Amino acid sequence: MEQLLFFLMAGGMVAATLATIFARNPVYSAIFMILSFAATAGLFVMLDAYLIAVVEVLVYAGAIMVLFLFVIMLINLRSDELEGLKVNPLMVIAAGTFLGLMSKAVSDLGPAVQSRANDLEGTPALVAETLFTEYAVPFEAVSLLLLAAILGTVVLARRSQDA
Amino acid sequence: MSPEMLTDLQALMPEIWLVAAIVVTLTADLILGHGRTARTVTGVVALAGVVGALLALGEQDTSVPARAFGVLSVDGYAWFFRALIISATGLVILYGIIFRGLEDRTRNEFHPMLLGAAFGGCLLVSTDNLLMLVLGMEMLSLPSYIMAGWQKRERRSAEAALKYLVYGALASGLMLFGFSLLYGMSGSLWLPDIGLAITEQWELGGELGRMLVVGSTVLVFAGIGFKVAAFPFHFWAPDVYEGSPAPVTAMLAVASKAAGIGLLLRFVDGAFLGMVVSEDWLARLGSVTAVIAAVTMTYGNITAVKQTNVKRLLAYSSIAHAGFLLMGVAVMLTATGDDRAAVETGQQATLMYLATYYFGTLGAFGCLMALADRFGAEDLDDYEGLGRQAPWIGVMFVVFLASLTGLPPTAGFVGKWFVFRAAISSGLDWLAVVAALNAAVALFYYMKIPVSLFLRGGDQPRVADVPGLGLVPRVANLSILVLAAATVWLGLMFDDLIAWVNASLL
Amino acid sequence: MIGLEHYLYLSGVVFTLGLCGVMMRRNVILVLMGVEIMLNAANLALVAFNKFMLPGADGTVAPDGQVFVFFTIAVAAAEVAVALVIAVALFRRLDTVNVDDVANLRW
Repeated sequence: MEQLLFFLMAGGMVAATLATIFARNPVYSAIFMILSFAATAGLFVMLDAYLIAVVEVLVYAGAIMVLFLFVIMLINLRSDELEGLKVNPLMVIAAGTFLGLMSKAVSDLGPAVQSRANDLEGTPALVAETLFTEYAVPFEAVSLLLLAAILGTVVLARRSQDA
Repeated sequence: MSPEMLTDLQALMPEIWLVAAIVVTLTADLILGHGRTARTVTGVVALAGVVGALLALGEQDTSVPARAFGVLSVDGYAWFFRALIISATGLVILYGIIFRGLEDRTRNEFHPMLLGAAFGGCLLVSTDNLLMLVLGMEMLSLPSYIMAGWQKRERRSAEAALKYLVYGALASGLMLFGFSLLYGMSGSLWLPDIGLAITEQWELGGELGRMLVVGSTVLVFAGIGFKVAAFPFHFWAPDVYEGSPAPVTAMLAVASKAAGIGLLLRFVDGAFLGMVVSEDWLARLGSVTAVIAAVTMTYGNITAVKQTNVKRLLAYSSIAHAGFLLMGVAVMLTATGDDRAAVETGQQATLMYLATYYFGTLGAFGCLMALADRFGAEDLDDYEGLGRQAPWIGVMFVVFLASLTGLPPTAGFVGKWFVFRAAISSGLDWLAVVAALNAAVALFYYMKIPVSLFLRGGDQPRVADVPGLGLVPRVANLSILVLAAATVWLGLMFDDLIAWVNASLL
Repeated sequence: MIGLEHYLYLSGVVFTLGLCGVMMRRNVILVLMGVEIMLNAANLALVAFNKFMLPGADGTVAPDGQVFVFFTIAVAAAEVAVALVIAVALFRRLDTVNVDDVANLRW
């Protein structure tokens, strides 16, 4: 059962990601990317990271992708500007090598991890406790980061008076 | 409030000043609109925030390293970099006020952006927690992307923002993946734990385990390499430096680069040098870094020779300076693990070079902006004869360029001397030779600017003088004068600087 | 039995796909999506590592990896907002979102 679920989610994630980078129409890309994020959220649930799974759906699949779709609609590309992936053989070879090395490297991970899953459960209470004690300063800093993003967005998006 | 929390807050005071200034400038902008009063108020508040932050920093005693709020290290090292970043931001705010390229309407919002970037830089250099590093890096980068595109109506500026953003986002993606591998290897987000885990993995792990160490290191170094514009991750730098508004370029070349170097040194020291490390691994990493340093400075200098736009010339030369800064890092890595003195030589050389680079670059950009402000001059051709029109700025420009070249008796000479000495003392003689050749090339293209300013052109300048200096340009010129005085003074009396740097080593 | 390696292989594959998207697509929006895919792959690796971490002396595991992911999601949201507004600003100026058209800067 667990294996079936994993391969379902993982297969869905890889397929959706492939579709995202290959689709000619950016709208399709965005929708496939939502699928990919949904599959990721499912994997997070399988890893007992409940809060992160919810945040992934809310922020990534919800807010971020809606933003993407919104901008795609706003820019409204003409159909002759649509184009798919430009396959660059050199890049494919580089990516394949990277992947090969990566998959070999992770087979010897050192003493910090074990082969059996531990009983960590990412409940909101547990994550919040760490977040508001050990990482209180980064949490405050994130608010400033968002403020800077909002401010910059407003300045750049506002049309100049005389333009 | 517990006494511990008070001490922690005191450590964070400089950042609190910056945040307070951000909030007040934003509120003032909302209430006062964008008229002349609002511009004055926001400018004054932003500068006051910087001065307050520097005073708060001055009150800190960092002789005993401490921690604040768990994630921040309060040590001399953080103090050194925070002082550089915050004071550079103050000067850039001043430059931003005189810079004509910004629309008056967006001038007020420019200050919170600069202060936000400074805040991010301060966090970045004062932590050894991966989470905090990512956050500080983004806090520094996001406002920088926005500021690069601040002159919306200029095509170059919009393109610079896009280019900076795409490569910056890619770099943070690579770095984050590297961090996740490091986390998996060590089970911790703290650099000292990661250092232990890397050593163990390299010594005890098999061939595959070593590959993991190499892979994660390459990913993280690629991310940092983008930030400091080191070869082969430098290619965004010239275009972004040229396309961004001049004050932003100064910020990127000084504060952003200082923060990147601060991150690199802390990472290298924490993750690779904290304990007796595998010498074999370090030697390989050290020689790779040395080669990267050599290629970076050579590429930057050779390309700078062809440039005619002064801002672009300074951009390429800033890539070359990143190479010199990496020389010190290479020395740190080449030093064998338990030889702490050799590690400190490399670190000291990097910090000395950075401090002298700070004065030279900020000053050169100040002169560039002063000339652009008065004469609208941007290219070497425009500079012809301007030295006779504005002798003070011309002379100061020459001082800063001499410092960037490394000629005595300026601060740059001291910085170069320290990196050369460090390289030779750790057996990297070939690197010192390459660096010396590079300094000669740098002399050639830097001197094109004074030649244009003083020796070329007739009595009539090619570009018109805009008369009537206001108060702010005068203050800005005064600050450039202070920088020039400091450049010469540090070139002659550098004992204080050495003492300061020695107190700031990790 | 699904182990840590499975998650890491998956994360590596998705990361590589994201990188390919960044390198081989010319539309800025798609390049940004590629970056988001890379960040998402890193998040998956972080959470998986956290779940298979060796427990400490007291038998518990700190949720550091999950907290890290929490922050990277927030950071990604801010980054996307800024990235898209820059793309829109450029589109208004140049009427294109193709990175090859930004030739003025000698890509």
